[in-house]
Amino acid sequence: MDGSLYGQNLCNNIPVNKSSVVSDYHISVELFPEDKKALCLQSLSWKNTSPDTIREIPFYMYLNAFKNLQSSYLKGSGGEIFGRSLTNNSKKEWGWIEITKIKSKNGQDLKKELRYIQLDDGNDNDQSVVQLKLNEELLPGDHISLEIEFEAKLPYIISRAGYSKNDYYFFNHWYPQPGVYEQDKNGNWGWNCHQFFRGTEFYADFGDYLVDIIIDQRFVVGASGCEVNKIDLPDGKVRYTYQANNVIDFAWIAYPLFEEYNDTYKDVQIKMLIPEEHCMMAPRYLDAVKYAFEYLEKHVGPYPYPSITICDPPMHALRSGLMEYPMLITCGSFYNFPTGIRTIESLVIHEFTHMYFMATIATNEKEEAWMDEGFVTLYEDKIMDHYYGKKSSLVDFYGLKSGNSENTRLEYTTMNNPSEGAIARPGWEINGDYKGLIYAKTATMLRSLEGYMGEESFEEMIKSYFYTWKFKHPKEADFRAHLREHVRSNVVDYQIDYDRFLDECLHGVAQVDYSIDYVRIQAREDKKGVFGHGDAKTYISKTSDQSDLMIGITNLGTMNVPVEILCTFECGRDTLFFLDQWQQEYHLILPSDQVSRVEIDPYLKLPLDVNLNNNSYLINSSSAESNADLLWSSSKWSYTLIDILSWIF
Amino acid sequence: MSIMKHIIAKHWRQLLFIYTVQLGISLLVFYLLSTMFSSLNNTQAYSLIHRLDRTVLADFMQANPSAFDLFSCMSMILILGYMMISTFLNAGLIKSFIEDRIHIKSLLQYGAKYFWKMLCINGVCILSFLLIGTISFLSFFLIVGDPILYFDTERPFVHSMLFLSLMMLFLSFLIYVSILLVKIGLLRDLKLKSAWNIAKRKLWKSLMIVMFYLVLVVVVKQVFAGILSSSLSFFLTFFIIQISSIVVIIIRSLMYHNLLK
Repeated sequence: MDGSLYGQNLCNNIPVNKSSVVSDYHISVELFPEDKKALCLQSLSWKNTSPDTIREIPFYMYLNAFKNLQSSYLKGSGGEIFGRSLTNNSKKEWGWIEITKIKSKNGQDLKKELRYIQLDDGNDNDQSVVQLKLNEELLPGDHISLEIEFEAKLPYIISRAGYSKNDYYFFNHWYPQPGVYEQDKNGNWGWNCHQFFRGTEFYADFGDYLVDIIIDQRFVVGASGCEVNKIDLPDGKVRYTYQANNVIDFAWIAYPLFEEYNDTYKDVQIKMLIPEEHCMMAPRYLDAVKYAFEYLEKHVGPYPYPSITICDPPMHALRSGLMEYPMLITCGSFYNFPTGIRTIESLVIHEFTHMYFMATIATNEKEEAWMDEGFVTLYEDKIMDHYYGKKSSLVDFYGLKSGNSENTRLEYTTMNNPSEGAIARPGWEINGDYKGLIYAKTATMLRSLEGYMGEESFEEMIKSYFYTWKFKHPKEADFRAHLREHVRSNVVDYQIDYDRFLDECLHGVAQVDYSIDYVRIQAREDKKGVFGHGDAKTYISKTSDQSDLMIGITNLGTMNVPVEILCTFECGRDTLFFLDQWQQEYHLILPSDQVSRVEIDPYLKLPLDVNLNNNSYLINSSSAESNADLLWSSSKWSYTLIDILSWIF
Repeated sequence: MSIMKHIIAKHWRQLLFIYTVQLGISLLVFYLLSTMFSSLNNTQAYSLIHRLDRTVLADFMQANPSAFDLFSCMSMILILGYMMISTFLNAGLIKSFIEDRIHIKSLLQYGAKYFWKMLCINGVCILSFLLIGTISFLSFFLIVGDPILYFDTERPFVHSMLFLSLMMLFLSFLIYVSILLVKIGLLRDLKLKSAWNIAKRKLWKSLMIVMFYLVLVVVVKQVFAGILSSSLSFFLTFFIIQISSIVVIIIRSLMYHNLLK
């Protein structure tokens, strides 16, 4: 028996806010690869932190989403999901979770008290939530301890959880996990434990996990938290013990063909699991994650956990990729991925940022997905643009360039229907372009919010939001109250009605498209002769040679928001106006005809504007760029085309 | 070097004529572009002068979905129009080299005489390119998708993609050179079959020649692009662009001359 302790010190460094921990898990799981199944024993202690007496506890049983085509997750998919047909699935390819025994601390069998419930859609075939009726009432502040034996049978990967070729296993949503007992919008206490639908994923209480994984020695294992113990067992197996404190979930992965890279960022362990064929990408992943560490630590707050495990699945298991679990993220790439295409960096930074917005600020991803995906996309953009160049952070490949934040804005503005619905809706109600709406529009909205507040003020607001709400479950109202308070008591660039702005963006469907309607110079009316009366009579001997500059601005959309206008004068001077009347149209009159350029939102503080091409007007366009520039550029394109055609034909 | 002297000294009128035609077309494109830019009157449009800007293009296409169709249509007309002109000029130039005629009139006469024949051959060339493109595209989609999941390793998939791309490039190049040789045969008034037989016989040597001149053109264009990337006056920019254009025409003439040997 060979036992050793790993990383205990690091795990003990977790800045735990014990008041947030509601559950305590000790799970022992043994993997049986031939059956694609794990047998598990879970000791669960759950604390009633509410003022109510609890009489039943609902548990997530999300692996049952992959039990048959009638589950609420797969129903309506037409037997095909994420491009994979399920109609020819063999028995072995379906997945499920089944509680075989459940006992209270005093040994009482509670299995007959289990009942599948379908409170969201009434689909009797859905078994993604099971409710346990307690035989004893649980009073406020009391704990309940349960011993649960269960089988977790993995499906051939449909989405994230599952097995794939060459003994690849990814365990998530693999154990019975209680829902969240909390106050709703009206202040009433109750369970929040939704069924599993496509486009929704997490909402759980914080808990401490100690998980023993018993598995063949040939497997390389990664999991949420730190590996604190490893014991070789006599039958060619090994028992890994993982500890993860103050997390909302626990996931693990096992694959014999993973190579392991270990690194650190300050005191944080970084473990990278990557197939041999992807090894050339390991430095790219590690650099990107370290950039994310550095940026988020500086601009949001310190990383709250002792480790991070990054798994890059092989291509045959790509459906388990691009996902976040506390202290465990999965990404996606393939052999020889081109260096100029930085989607792998962008994705790993995105998933890592979820350690802040999802794992630590544990918003309800099912009901308010924008609160994690939107913030995460915003920081993904900021990190990518900061470290890889604003206009080329995502793609810099043989002359083709695209920035990450540029890409995010375009994902929103080029949606088939950017007005298809409000952002602030439960995930299962969004049938259209989920990513465009929840990820891209929210990030673009937050960037616009930052534009009004100013970079520094926005950063301070986010830092205090993180500090206040870490290891808690903030809702939209909490974020808005925090923002309101920040704006009230701090200096911001513009004092606008931020609630109105958020209402328009989160609950409205309208778009912004300010455009310059006209810019014209109008001579002032002639004033020659005698004006006034009595002693105040004035004689004006000559007509005025002065003119007024008239500027017309119209919002072609219907979401009226404040916006900046910059007028640049020919002498080089410029004047910035802030139009904050929330109007559809503005008509400006400036006492000068020496203006060379008029620009709406010149510093791109309002990326929500869906068409930037109508945001500027050059009074004398020929002076704006030299003719040589124009000549060279047009000649470059036309000569290249002519050369190619001359050689071919 | 002696070939270059020979070509420049003897055929300078014809080369100058070809350059003048190309300049005329370039000025037309320049006029169209400058009209477009001056009418747009916004800073975003001017950013396109320096580089293709994804935001500007995407916003433009989103706001004016029909404008892209118009642009594609105009580009297609321009390309087809120049294809005709290029077919005419190249037929006239190569035949002038064959017959050792030096006057512009000969170039025009030969161009007119062989225009339709060369146009047909160019049609075959376009069809061949389209066929190769379609086959590669279909092969790509046969591999991508669920079949990827059944590979034991990713190397065969990635290598297949690379191999497919290289094959597509090589086949296109092979077809281009073969058709060029057939065109030369036909301009020597051979029957199609004889022209094809000669093309087959001289194919590998000709591949090397064409490859050499193509590389030379790329190098020359890079050098000129480097010079033009520094800030120069309007007239100096214009002058350097013209020099670059003339040099490229001379290199193309040298290639034809070498292939005729």
